[in-house]
Amino acid sequence: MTMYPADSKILIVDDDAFVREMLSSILEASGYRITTAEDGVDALEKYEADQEIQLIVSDVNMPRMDGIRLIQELKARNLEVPIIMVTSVNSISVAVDALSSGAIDYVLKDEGIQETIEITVKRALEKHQIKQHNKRLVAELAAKTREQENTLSYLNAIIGHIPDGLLVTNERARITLVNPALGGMFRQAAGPVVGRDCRELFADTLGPILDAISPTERTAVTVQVALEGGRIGSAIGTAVYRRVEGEEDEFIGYLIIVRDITHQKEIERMKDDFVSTVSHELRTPLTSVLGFAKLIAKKLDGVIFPLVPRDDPKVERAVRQIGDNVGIIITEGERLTKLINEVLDLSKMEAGKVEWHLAEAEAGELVKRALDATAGLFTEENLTLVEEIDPDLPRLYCDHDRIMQVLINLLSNARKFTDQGQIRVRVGKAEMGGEAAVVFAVSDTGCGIARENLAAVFDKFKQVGDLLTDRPKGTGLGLPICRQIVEYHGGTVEVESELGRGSTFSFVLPAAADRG
Amino acid sequence: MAKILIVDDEPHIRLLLEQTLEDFEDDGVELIMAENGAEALEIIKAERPNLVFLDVMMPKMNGFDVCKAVKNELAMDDVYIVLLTAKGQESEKHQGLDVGADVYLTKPFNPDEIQAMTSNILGLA
Repeated sequence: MTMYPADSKILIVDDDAFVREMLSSILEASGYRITTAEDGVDALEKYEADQEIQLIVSDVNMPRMDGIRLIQELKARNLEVPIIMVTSVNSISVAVDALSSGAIDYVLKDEGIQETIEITVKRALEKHQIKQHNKRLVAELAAKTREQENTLSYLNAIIGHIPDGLLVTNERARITLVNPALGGMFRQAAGPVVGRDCRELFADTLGPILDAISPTERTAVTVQVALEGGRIGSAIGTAVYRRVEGEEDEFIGYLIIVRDITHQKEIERMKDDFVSTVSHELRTPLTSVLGFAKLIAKKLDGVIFPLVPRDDPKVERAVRQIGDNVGIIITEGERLTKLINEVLDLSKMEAGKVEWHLAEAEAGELVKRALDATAGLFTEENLTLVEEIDPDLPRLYCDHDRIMQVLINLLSNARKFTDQGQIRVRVGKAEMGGEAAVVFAVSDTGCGIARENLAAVFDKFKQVGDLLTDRPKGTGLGLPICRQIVEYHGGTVEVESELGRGSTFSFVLPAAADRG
Repeated sequence: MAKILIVDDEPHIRLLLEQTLEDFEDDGVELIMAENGAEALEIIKAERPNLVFLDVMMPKMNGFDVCKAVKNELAMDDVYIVLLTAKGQESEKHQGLDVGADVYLTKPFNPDEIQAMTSNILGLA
């Protein structure tokens, strides 16, 4: 605590000039600065005019305004200044009055006053300073408390209004906090739950999430849970850490947020139903169109055309055109079928509804099978197919049919856009984030893709073929499906191309983890 | 004499299957038509066809239920059932095979494939 300054300014009030003189000289000798007044009224004026005065030493009996009144007047004006009363030896009762009115101390006007006044002033100044200091501390504390209360009520208001359910536990899974939204989601959370064991209270719903969270790995766990009234919730749980200066973060509990996804689920279901219904409604007429077109083509070739005399060039042309036209109906019908299948496929993949059949696989084996399946595409004389398969590749863990689907797609794309030159299939070792991986690349010497179109090739319904009128049209969904499949496996797809020189489509799949 | 039952509520699909398979009539195969599942089940019980092309989504009784009745309840293992669906969902394929279908085909089907399959099943080279 800082001491009061030794040159504190003191106001001495007495109607007796001799006493004023005496007290002034005593205190001045101790280093204080002195100012004087003749009575209470004079003192009040002087004190109000001089901000430096830190202590008043006042006589009791004075004309116009006595010492006791002076104390009361100062108090009435909210002026906080310590006052020492100087009283006569034979009037202790006055001293008591003075103290009870608020004087900080008193001294007796006797022969010992020379010694007592000095010590009393010193004590009074110290006492006053301590008092002021305490007052400041109390005020600061009150302000801090108010600030904390504000912060707390602010946080409480936020937590209370979060539409998602919130549950927090300590490190032993005892519930420390829930918000009102959670009470509406679980019957168990309607009453008081703080202090209960989350694993026990929510055994069928939120409890298992805590077991799934690993406090060492800071990843969130998402689980679908059943809510009150047949609703569906998505619960995300995570471990909570407190930052500790200079130490490792301290694990202090779990936090779970529950969102009602009933509506979302309903929309998803409606979308699935819609896609499935549309697919059904499209397939039924398409079956007739495509089926009859194929029967017609067969009957024309097998029964009708052989009987048609070709002498007339018009008849000859009509026969040729009918044959071509039926062929176009069939090709386009098949394209439509493919489109329906791919829309259905992609929609299921995006909704995460595909059943994946994961198993260990040999990368080279998959490529050989894909090449067998597409062998029919590579019969042109001026097109060579080159295979480069690293014999020593790490094993994969993947859905064989789906990866084959990707490879076949890339191979038939390469063929589709390449008239002559070379199609090269390369399978080699690669790395993904420091882990072993396998890269598959299909390169062609075809028309290539302009730089500005490269980024869009994996987007839905974007086709390089759009720019090339003489190319067979695809569905625009092949590459987006490839990307979905590869990304499901934790891999990445990539394309490099130069217009007029050719393209390389590649994807990388992580190697199978050591599966014990 | 071999019998083939064609079951679909869409008349055009029945016609398509009929025309696809009519060449087999020269080999003495009889083609029978049904418009819904209930009718199909009656015919299967009465005629005991060797091969059934069975649509899935139909009024009265769907293809899955017909298949289940024939293969499980009636235990008619010698009736070869080809389910034809327009839905094309992978989960339905499992369902189809679970109820005992011998083959599960997605529409649109290829007439050539239907012909080849029929020759194979009926042993007509």
